[in-house]
Amino acid sequence: MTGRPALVRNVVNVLVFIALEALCLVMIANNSVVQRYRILGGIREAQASLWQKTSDIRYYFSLKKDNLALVQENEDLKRRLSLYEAREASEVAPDSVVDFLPGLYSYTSADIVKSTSRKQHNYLLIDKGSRAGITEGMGVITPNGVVGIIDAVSDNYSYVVSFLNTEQSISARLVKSDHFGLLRWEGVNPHKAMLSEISLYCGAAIGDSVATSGHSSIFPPDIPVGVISKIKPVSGLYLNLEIDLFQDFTSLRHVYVVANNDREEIERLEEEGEDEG
Amino acid sequence: MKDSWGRILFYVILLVIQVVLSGYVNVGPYIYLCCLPLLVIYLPLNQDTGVSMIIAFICGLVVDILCDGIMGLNAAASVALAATRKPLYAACFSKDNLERAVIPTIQEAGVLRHVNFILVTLAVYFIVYICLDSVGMESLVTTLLRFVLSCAANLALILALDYSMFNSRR
Repeated sequence: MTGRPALVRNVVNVLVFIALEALCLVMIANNSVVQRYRILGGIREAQASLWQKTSDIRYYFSLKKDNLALVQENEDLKRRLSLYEAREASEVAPDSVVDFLPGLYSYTSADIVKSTSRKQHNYLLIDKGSRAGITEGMGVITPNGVVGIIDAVSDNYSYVVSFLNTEQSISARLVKSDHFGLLRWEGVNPHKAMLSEISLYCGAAIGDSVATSGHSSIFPPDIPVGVISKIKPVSGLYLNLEIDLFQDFTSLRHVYVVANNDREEIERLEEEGEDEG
Repeated sequence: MKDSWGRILFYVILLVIQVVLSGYVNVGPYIYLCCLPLLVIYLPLNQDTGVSMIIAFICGLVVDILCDGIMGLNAAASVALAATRKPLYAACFSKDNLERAVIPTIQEAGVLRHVNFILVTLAVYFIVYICLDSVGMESLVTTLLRFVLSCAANLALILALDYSMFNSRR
């Protein structure tokens, strides 16, 4: 009784055992009300537990799909929000310049394929390219702040110059006082950046929030970026503010590519203005 | 051939004893006298476990029918005992006996070892029997009392039957 025949015999024995015991249980349940009640109760409990376990396992394997659906939903919500923001701005000051600044932004979700955060000139590679409507110069954000700007695009991928790049700067403002300046990474700590050339009279205090200003056609306004952690007066003329960034660039996974639908119009206008000047 | 008839006669006698015990001997609610475990223990050791389980099931069912109890109770306990019989046997006696397919007599195995084997098999039988019979309706104390008293009473019964009937047979 060795090897395969022994294994087959054992399996057959187990099956015979289960069949006979099941038959006995059926007979017992059919011949006694108490036993039937308890046995059926036990079977139902085991069934419920099994269903629960199966449901848990199925839920676990559908997490990726759910995640994608959530990202999609988030994207739609952001799109709707930008519509409301645009509408609200036009209602407040219909004839002013504010009308075109918030613009009408559209968002495309993307996953990061590759990224660096320890160099002086960091970059990211995302899994959406020209086929998804991505073009050079579009902004890349997350709900925690600005990530970078699209620099090159292929059919299915885009190369993003990260905000963690000493040559990159974005326009940011103090939420409390609306004073704005250039926010730039200084190339040392990936969690800190410098908001420079802020007026001495801005009333900035440590802990104040900083958000995007919207003074460009790349990023929408009011994306929270970070909080002030240090205030440095420069030559008694203006302030440099050290900012603790909300965005942790070392754990990025999902981003949104943001497109200003009025960008071409804005840029054309800017070019015309420069030509006349 | 003679041996087969002897074996069948042995099973019939045990079934008759079981019917008499169930029908005419009343020893209270805590003790269930049953010689069915002895029948299962003495099924041929060289027989396949699957076949042993089927024979045990049939014998248990016959007892259930004749003794007017809950149909399937004795059958379920007998099948469980038939399934675990060989491992229990190997654990209690030397593996030599299992390979030779011989059940040693009390004299050969020693009283202590034999009693130990019978007790373990009775425990398996009554765990299944009492669990299915009470199905959690009785208190733990009552269930334990039933289990201990039934094991003790049946140990005495089986040792008596074993000694009187089968020692002479061997």
